[in-house]
Amino acid sequence: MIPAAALLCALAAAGDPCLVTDEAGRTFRTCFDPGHRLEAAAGVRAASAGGARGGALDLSAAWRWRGDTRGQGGAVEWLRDQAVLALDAALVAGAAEEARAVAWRGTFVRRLAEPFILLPGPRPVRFPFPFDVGMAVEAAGVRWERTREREAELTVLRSTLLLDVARHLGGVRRAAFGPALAYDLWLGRDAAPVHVIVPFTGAALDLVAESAGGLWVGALTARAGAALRVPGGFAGYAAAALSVERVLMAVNDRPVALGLRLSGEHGATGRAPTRVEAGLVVRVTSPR
Amino acid sequence: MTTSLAAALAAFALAQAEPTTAAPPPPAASTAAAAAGPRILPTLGLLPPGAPVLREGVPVRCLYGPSGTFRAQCDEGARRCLVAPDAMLDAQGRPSGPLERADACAAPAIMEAELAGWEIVPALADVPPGFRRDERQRASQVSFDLGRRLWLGGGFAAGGWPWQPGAFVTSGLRLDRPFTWDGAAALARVRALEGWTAVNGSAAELGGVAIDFSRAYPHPLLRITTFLGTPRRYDPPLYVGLWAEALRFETLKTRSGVRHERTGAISAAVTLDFWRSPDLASYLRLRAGAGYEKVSGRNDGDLLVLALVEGEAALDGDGLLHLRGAMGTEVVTPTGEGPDASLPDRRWRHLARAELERILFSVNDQPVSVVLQARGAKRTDVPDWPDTWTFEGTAQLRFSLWAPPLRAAARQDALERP
Repeated sequence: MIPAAALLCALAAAGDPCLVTDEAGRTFRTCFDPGHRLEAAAGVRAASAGGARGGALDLSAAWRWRGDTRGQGGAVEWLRDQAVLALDAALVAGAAEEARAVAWRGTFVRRLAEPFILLPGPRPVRFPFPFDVGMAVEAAGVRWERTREREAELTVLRSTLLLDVARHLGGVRRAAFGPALAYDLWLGRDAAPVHVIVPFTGAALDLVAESAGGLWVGALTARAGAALRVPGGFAGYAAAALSVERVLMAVNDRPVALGLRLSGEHGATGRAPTRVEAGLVVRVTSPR
Repeated sequence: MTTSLAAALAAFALAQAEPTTAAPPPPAASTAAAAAGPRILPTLGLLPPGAPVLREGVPVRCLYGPSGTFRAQCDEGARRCLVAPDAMLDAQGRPSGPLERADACAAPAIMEAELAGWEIVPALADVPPGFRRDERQRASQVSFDLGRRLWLGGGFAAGGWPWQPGAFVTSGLRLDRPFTWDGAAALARVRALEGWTAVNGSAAELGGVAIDFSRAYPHPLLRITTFLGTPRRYDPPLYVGLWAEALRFETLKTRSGVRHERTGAISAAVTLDFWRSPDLASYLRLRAGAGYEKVSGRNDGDLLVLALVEGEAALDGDGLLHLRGAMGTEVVTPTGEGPDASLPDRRWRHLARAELERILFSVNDQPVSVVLQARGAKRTDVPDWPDTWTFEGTAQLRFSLWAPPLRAAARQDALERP
């Protein structure tokens, strides 16, 4: 008896290795691009902040676009991940408890076979360099929560110069770190705005790993450093988030994933100084 | 075949023991014959100074044989071939990896035995404009288009502005795209998130999105013919374009500690180029228009009228050195209630700026540049601002992401001599 998996592999549609045909001649998709999708997710989260604990329904949506480019030899040249209109809201008893939105977020990493530093001139000089380089940018974000409904935190710009070592860690899409720059505005109707600036006094870490078929996705992001608040002065901040997702099924070739997310932050916003969250999420995305 | 060429061959015999990805595999039927045939090619090691580069516009054919895999351009009439290793080389001249920035060589392949009696010239593999290959065939970008980049930077400013001396950080996105406008060449320049922030938080300025359009005018807008003596025609340089900006934010703390915050909603202007380069990338122009802005603490907004002379130019052919500058005036007029008692009804911002940017080095083809800037301002729109011209000088380093080669970048024609 031929194992079902072997049969499916044998019947994989020619030309698209992600499209499989079963014994009845029906085709379906078995791999997905987690970086290129329109997604909507719902889940639950539990948070501990300032001594208070609570749960919430978590809703989110985003349009993610991945546009990697390859050089003439076929090797990846640019890794380009972007997200447009990433929305996230927490609801308690049907009412909005917290909402976040980011208009645009992009991460760009340049891959070379042999990274180098070049001194230009009539006869340029080239030195080896151990990292790929890149940049992460986040522009136009807003964050609001019910307990401080007359206030909002605006992200004008956040950016990180990335040094990427993923080339040395097979199977990892991105393993990058670097100095961070940020400019946020905390606005309140009854108070003068607070300017929050990170002038390369912080650092960020971005680790992303995906299985070959896109069924598993793991990500770890972290940022920490000192932010200047005006008025206020320098204050330390730290934030980190770990997420793991697994595609469990697909409906009309649209993958449905179950994910686990852990996050924590300290001093990163104007709200509770320390906050830890854990959540489970079900994510539905467009096929790719 | 020269002695020096023979000496250059020593290491490259090994080169072809390893496969490269740039070349398609040799025809299976001929592999055995090629490997068993006579060795015609000399051993190519590190490419010698002065070695030519495979030419643009001429087919690059695969060359297989017992000496290995090469890329070749042959002149049958002269019985002469330019032959380049089809791989990057290590320090000993042995292949170390696939060739970067080269298309696969083309069929039909040449067998090494066919070149018996031909002149063989060691050459560098073909390379795109704006890139350079070294003696190991490694490709490096040597031309940079700073009109297409995302950049971050930081530096130090000293001068008479209230927050100085102090450090600052900068950012910006620039995306220039040529297009065709009514049958004529045109260029759109997009700027986004361009600005700076003082590290001590007492001043910042950030633009939202700005776009401007320049176009060539095959038929001049204005022709003047004189009839004094021999009739003569003059075509004054009258190149009209458009400019617009949405959102501009400025915040600064004055000497008395009062914070002045200004948000520009939208501005639009007409541009008139006095001079431009043929590719429209460099220019000197007048920009005149109007806008609307609002200052925190006031209910009504202000109308803005602006007129500036501005320009930018690449001072070398590789885009390593850029000069930018602007000088002009913005007039601010309240639309409702008058301004603060300490300010005049009609306020001015006189601005002047000159900036020189030089690329120092590149990291993975991403340029790192030094920027020297001088700025001056005289303004009456800010309470407690010095009532004379104030000046600052800044020096900063910028890291630019992307910055592809200039569209008109030169192509390498030979390996430089020391």
